[in-house]
Amino acid sequence: MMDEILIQALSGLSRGMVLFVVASGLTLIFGTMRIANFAHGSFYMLAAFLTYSVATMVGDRTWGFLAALCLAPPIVASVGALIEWGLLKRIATRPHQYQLILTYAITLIVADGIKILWGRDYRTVARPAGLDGAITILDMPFPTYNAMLILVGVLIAVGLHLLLTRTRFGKTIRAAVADGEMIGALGVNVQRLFTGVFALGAGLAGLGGVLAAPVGSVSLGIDTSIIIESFAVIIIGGVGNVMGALIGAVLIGVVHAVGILFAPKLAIAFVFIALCAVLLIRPQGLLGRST
Amino acid sequence: MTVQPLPPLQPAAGSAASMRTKTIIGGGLIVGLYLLPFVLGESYLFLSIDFLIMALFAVSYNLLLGQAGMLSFGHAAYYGLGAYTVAILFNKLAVPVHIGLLASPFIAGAIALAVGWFAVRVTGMYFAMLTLAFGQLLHTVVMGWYGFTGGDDGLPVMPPDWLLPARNYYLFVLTVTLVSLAALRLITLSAFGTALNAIRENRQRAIFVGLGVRNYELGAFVIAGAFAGIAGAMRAPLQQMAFPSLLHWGQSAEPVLMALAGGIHTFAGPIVGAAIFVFTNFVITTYSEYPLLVFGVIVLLVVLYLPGGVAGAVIDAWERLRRRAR
Amino acid sequence: MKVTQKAYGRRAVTRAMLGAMALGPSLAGVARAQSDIKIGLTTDLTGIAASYTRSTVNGVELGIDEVNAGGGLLGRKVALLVRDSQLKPDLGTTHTRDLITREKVDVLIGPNSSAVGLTVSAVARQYQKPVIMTTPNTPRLPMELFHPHFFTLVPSGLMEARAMAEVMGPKGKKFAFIGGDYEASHQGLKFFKERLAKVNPAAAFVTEAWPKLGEPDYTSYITKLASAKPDVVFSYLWGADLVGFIKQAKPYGLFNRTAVGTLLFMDDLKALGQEMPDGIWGQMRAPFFAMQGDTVSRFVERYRAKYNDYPADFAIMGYEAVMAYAGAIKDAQSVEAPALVKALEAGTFDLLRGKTKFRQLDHQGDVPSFIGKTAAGDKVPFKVLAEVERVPADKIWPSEAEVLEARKAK
Repeated sequence: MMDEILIQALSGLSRGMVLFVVASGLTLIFGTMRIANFAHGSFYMLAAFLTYSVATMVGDRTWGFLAALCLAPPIVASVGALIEWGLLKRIATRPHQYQLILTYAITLIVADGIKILWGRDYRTVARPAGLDGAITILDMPFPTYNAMLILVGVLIAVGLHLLLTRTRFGKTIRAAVADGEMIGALGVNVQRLFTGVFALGAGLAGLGGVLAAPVGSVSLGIDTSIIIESFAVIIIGGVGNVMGALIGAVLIGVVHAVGILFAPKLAIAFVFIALCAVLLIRPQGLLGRST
Repeated sequence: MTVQPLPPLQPAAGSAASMRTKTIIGGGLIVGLYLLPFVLGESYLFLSIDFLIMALFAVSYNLLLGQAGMLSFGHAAYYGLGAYTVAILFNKLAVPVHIGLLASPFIAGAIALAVGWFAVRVTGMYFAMLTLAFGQLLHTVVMGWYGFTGGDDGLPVMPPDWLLPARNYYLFVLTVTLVSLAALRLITLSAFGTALNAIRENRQRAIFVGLGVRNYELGAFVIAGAFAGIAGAMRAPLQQMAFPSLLHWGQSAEPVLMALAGGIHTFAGPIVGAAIFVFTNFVITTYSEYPLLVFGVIVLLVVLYLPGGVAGAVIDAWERLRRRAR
Repeated sequence: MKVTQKAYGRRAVTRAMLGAMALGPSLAGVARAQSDIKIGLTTDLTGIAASYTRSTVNGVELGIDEVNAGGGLLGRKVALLVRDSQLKPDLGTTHTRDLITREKVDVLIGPNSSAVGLTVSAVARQYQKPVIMTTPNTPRLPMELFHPHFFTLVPSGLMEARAMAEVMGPKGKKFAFIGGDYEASHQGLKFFKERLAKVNPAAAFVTEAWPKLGEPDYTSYITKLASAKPDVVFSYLWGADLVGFIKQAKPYGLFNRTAVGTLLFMDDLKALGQEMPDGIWGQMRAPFFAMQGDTVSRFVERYRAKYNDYPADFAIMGYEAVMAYAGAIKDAQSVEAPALVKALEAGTFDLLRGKTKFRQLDHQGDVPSFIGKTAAGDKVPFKVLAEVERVPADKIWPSEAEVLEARKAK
């Protein structure tokens, strides 16, 4: 039984890592700009479809995936920057609901846009050579690709941590999260900061999309399933906090994976059960500042 | 951002006259609405029912957004719960839909109380996210509890024979909607409504002057949820079914869209928004192969270029005309 | 043939909006050319089922093309009106009502999702318009929610689960289940278990997994399934979910050790391509590669020529719905509902899946269920089913007593 729980926890961890990568972008955008970005799932879906196209064009499964890994996140980040610069900036001084609805409108446009560009079929992306098999952990097979996801997730977490603590851009972001009003007074170009953060966030969603593409299927509708879980992650972790997002995502992944051993029929509600539990204890999220 | 009502420029007598004009226009409108089924074709009548339900849904929502400045993104949950109240009472206890409708505001309001108790502890975007999360939780429960709710396939509802013809159902919905709107209007004009305005204008100050801000917000959340429940309760017999997508977050975007499209700073704004929404949605899903794209672009344009909504734009234009005329 | 679908586009929308705005309510009274026989098709063109519904529309269009090329029906052309219900039951009702009351369609073809199917069927009942279902297959439709204007060409969920139990039942003792957490799936497992108890009384379920619909990551479900070491896995996953599951289960060697039986659509075979493992037992509704006869091969040719694609199950069933209507309208010499319903009840229709008749009691078409093993296909660029067994309808559909029982219980 212990072995089973461990192996479940491990698979939950790999699931949580993709979620973390996507949610980290969402939490940075929210923390800095105070925008609940519905289009975040769209960025993720767009990157997954781009991965399919790049992989198909390159042909080789390994090089195709690597090419997508290099190309898709920057493309999606540019789309994000364009949206921030062209649309969100214009309504930056308006109340929240306008920004919320604007990002919602983008989800609709992207969903149909992808349908126009890629068609209605669902697709698959092959896993890179050497990552399509399984390794043995505790006498159980465990997919190599998922093991790699865990490693990559940790690397991205470390990278983001360094970015936020060691670079000027990162420190500005943290200052903006802590006190949005002060940041303008300090002589920071808030406009450029916002565009940068939105692009970074979109790029992270894109990175999540590339990493997730070889796991399952690339299809219309993957945007909505990731966005709600990502929102849950950042509420659990505390908004604006990347480490909180990591903890929240891992928590959701592991609770889900271990939970289905004991209460399989509650699987669809695990995310919300975890959410309610955290809210009861810490309404501001695990690592959130209390207000 | 709020549009401050302009100070009255005319003497009191003038405003009494404008009051009378308003009453006449309003009365005429209501009479017109009651005569509509004798003019309209059946398909348009169904569309009008759709509009009335959405209008109530949108106005109930605007009690939160327009009046109290609370950006909820989970309003569909209470709308859907209203629909399920009618459907479950009908299926399990054979309660006819027009009786079941009386229970819907209480069920929807009670759940709104439970959710609101958590949600009003936070404000702004965070409040939006929490209400969204709780809305999705309720959606998940309805979807998953298939023994009780019929799950994803929904729960069939059959209106009694006398409510089945479009004309009768229209008149029924019209009456319920008008009564509900009148009640909501009274609430917005009451001391409670004024307090909500004060919270929207300046939450900090409202706290300082000793207003129990959270209780007021919770009250608004419950009332809005209850009236959304009534709207949902009229929806189920119209579609002859209650189904989970009524609670989905995509549905929660609709009252926000309607309120913004019509204008959140007037009582009638969301009603105008509902008319625009229902009509546009019908035309787009009828004629376009890419309805989401068309709809998304329209929403984008409204957000960018009509900040006060259609009602806001009309009022602005009217004010400008009046000033020029003088 | 002029299809509304073709008229889609920004200009059509603008025109329609301007027209409707200018004329407003008076549009309701606009007189329409009554010369065409109109088929109304409300279906879920937007949402996760988009690729299936596109196939349905294609199949229906092709059927109508052929009917019109052959001179139409009763000397009249056949026209198609398509509406998008976006998987939303409320839009399903709205558009179906509009098609009937304003567009005056003569007959209806059903949508994709079961939830929308229930509302479309309810509207058809209210307005007494014939409707043929080609995709939604909840057994509630022909059983407790039946009405005389309802017809179906899809094997119901009950029939499919029983067919699966017939074929998979003898393959082992320890069974496992994985299926999306939604009603059809719960029902499917229930029906499967009932039939399994008869086919193989020694068999038992050792584990069940209920991922949510649209689950991106099945890893934890697969480890759970694998550690229960079942002989047989019964899957009620489909579409993108099934594709994700198969890809993720492959590294575990699940398909080498275990007999896996699952619902399967041609779109899944296409999406997985050569990644599709051999030896999975797939249950399909209308696999063109496993259907014989000249009519089938001619249909496939024409379909490929027109759409540059292979016909999915949904395209075939959509095409068959048009054929059934065409046959019945010819028999009845009328498109009026009472005569048409009688003709649909009485006729035997030569469809792609073979001669088909609707059973009097529940208007269930006596269509088979196809179950076979995935294997390389020699004529198509994706895997196909080999050793296909056609489980006949009368072996798996509910007995008349069962149908009546279900209606009484309601």
